[in-house]
Amino acid sequence: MIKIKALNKIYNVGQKNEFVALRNINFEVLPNTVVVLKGVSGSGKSTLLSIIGGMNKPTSGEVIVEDKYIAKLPDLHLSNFRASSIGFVFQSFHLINDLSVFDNISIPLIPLGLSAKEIEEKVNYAMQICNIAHKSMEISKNLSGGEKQRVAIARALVNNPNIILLDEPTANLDSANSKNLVEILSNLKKLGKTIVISTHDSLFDELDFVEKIIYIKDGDISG
Amino acid sequence: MGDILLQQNVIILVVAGFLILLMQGLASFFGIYIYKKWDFSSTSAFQYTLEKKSYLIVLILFFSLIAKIILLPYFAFTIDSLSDVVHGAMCAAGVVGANEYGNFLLGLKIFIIFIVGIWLIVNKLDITAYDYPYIKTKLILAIVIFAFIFIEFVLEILYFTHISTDVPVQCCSVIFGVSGSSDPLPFGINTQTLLILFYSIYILVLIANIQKNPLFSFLSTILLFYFGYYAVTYFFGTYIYQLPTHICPFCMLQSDYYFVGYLIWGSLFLGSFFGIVNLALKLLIKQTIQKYFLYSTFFNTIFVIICTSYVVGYYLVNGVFL
Repeated sequence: MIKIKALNKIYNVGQKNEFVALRNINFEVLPNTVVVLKGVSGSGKSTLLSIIGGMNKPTSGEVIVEDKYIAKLPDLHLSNFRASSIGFVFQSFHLINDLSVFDNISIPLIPLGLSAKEIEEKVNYAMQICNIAHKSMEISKNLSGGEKQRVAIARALVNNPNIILLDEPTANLDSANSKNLVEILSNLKKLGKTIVISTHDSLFDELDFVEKIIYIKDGDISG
Repeated sequence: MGDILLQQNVIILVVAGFLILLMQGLASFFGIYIYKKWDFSSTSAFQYTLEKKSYLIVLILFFSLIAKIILLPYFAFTIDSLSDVVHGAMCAAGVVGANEYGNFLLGLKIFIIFIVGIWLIVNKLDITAYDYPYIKTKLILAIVIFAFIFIEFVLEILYFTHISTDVPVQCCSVIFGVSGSSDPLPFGINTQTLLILFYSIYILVLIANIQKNPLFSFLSTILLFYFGYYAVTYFFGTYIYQLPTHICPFCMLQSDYYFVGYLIWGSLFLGSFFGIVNLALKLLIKQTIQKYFLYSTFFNTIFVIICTSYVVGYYLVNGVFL
């Protein structure tokens, strides 16, 4: 469950270039649902996604994710929260180009102190879900955009988080890869994941597994 | 006066001390503001700003206080090194006693380190909790530490500026030795009684730590610290120097004795700190940490073993006691 109450995010507070990114945002995301945050570039949806993911703090308001007030969490607990509960897929993937697919996906497992065998099992499982196991030893910089996307999703999944956040997931994909992504997301929902997607792509408008579309315009929820 | 202030180690000590004082002062100033306005239950923009600021303030306090701990052995090293330029001094004992500020300064430094240690523990408990339960306590404690550090800095300046390189000072054998006080041990006891007390109190510390009783541990630790100082200075030290007339708590910090003084005094300080800290924590934040009883036992045991090993080692090699 994700609950946002009276959330505001203002950048450069009190300065000449003060900018209100989010204004009095309120909504809920129920477990095992798919919610799309829709809006044009600069509308505030990526900021909202990063706040839900505990990578950014609000200026005011409450952000409750899995019963934790994450905006109030001290850094140590926030890191643990991100590691255990959130899988984040970035718009530009943020893979380490010189590492293999396997190594990239295993990175979130490193701080957990797991054995090599456990890491291998978890990474293989994540690669299978994202249909990238055949590229396991490939160096990331040699992958296509669609393959990089799947690696990024596998990395987000590998810790088995309940919540997956995707920021503009189709921005760097062609239509065929976008359809593959939709299929992966559908499978993730079947696995019981809660998924929040920030996008301006109309592809997500009429997907049968999307429960709710929240329209954001100039930092406000508009519909 | 100028000769001392131009010594490299003294310059480092004074500049580092000033920077720590500056950081502590700034952090304490903003700490008062945070203390007055803090309301963790609020989700207002103001409270979020305070939380961000408190993170920075606590980080500044943390690093400056860690530096403070490192500076204590460095102070010991510095005053020992000054014995080369202070006439009559053979070790730090003469330098510490070069004016009326030295002994008080040294005592204050040790006292401050103990409070700093308590602050670091409270800080750790606070930042590993979910809701900063001890932030107000540690901010108040930081302000208290700042006050002591300020006094210490003034004393340090007075101390270093009042050491004369022209006037001879007393060496350790005069200060502590047979030609010094006629009755150097406390309460008029003799060395044999001192040793009986020393080992008895050590056993008391062990019992207190096994019972995990903060007050008992505090009292027995304070006693061990007190009698431990005399036992090392007036008995065990003579075995370290292998000379019954060489009575000094500082010479063992020198390379001639493999710097063993740092180990001996360090283990006594750590053992004492962990022995007293649970009572302080109980009074400050109403909780104790069981593992600190174990740490107290460990460090005090190290201290006793090192001291005793010198006597045993001497007897095994020479077949007699001093």
